[in-house]
Amino acid sequence: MNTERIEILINRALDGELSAGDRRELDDALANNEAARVLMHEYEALDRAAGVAIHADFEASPTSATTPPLHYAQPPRWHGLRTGITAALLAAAAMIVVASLPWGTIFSSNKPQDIVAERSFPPGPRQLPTYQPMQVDYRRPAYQPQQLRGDVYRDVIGIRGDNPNVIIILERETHAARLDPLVGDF
Amino acid sequence: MALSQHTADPDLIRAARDGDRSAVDVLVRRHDPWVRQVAYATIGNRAAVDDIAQNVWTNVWQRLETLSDPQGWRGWLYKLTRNAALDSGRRLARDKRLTLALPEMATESDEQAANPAQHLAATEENQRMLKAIHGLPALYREPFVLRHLRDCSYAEIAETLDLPVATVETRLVRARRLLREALADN
Repeated sequence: MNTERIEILINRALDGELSAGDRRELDDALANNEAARVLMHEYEALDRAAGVAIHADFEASPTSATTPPLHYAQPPRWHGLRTGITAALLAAAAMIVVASLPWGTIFSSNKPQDIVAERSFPPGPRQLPTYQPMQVDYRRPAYQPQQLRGDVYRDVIGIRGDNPNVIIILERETHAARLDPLVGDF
Repeated sequence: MALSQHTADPDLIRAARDGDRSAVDVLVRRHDPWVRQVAYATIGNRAAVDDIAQNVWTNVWQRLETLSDPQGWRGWLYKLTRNAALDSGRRLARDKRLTLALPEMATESDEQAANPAQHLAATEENQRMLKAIHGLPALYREPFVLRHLRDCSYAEIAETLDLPVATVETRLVRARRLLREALADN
């Protein structure tokens, strides 16, 4: 076996890439060839020292390889922007909810008749459609009826909080989309 | 789509392209160690790794739109990293020609005193080995350093460097042979 072949087998052994056939070939060379044994010892020592040197040098870096640096873990720009966007979205969502929420739909009583009695809508230019509130069981928080009156959908969502005697009701009204053919000389 | 540490890279890339900063955050955390190791393998200078990594991630954020195939992300990231490392190497070489040796030595000494790992890296044997490794041609040094830093198989190194497996093996054999010769000469 020539030196180049022995070198290849030694390299595969060091890299954990030896096949069963390679292993037999290398064992045979090491058993019968003094030069192969010397070469194996030299390459083993070299590889070990190289590994130690590379790791020591790389890990001596101020920000080691294994842990992303702090400025990546908490990128100030991204963090700040993300917080800003989140805050803006929350504010917008809150405004929509508040604007669309008829005051008086948050009740301290669970009785439907009480709810009906206390319902009131804020004054405004648009007249809200009249509903049949008795159809909505506000005691069931997951109850989400949707009614279509004209071109307006009405949704109700009940959210039960920590207090079992209080259910927060969110109502919303959305206009239904319409599909109208537009005819003309285009 | 809710993003997590388990979200696949292509999905993260698509989300990042849609403006989701948290997707970029996950990509950075996931791949930053790898970027640093490739940078170190390319340039062989730990002091430059931080700057290279920062340049790479800035480029990723700016150029993500130009990545045509999210499946090819890893190869794209490798090219960005390698180019950034080579640019950094050229800058360092230029700066070194303009810098006196004395201040550089003083800085190294301060670093070594401040960190035990740096002290280990500074031992005579390690320095001799590192000098020999850094003296290898880049095409041999890169797979050799990656092999030691990441304990990669030939197939994994081949994938990272976009080379045939047989080429990786040949380069590792030659890297060790050149190292052995260089150390024997010293």
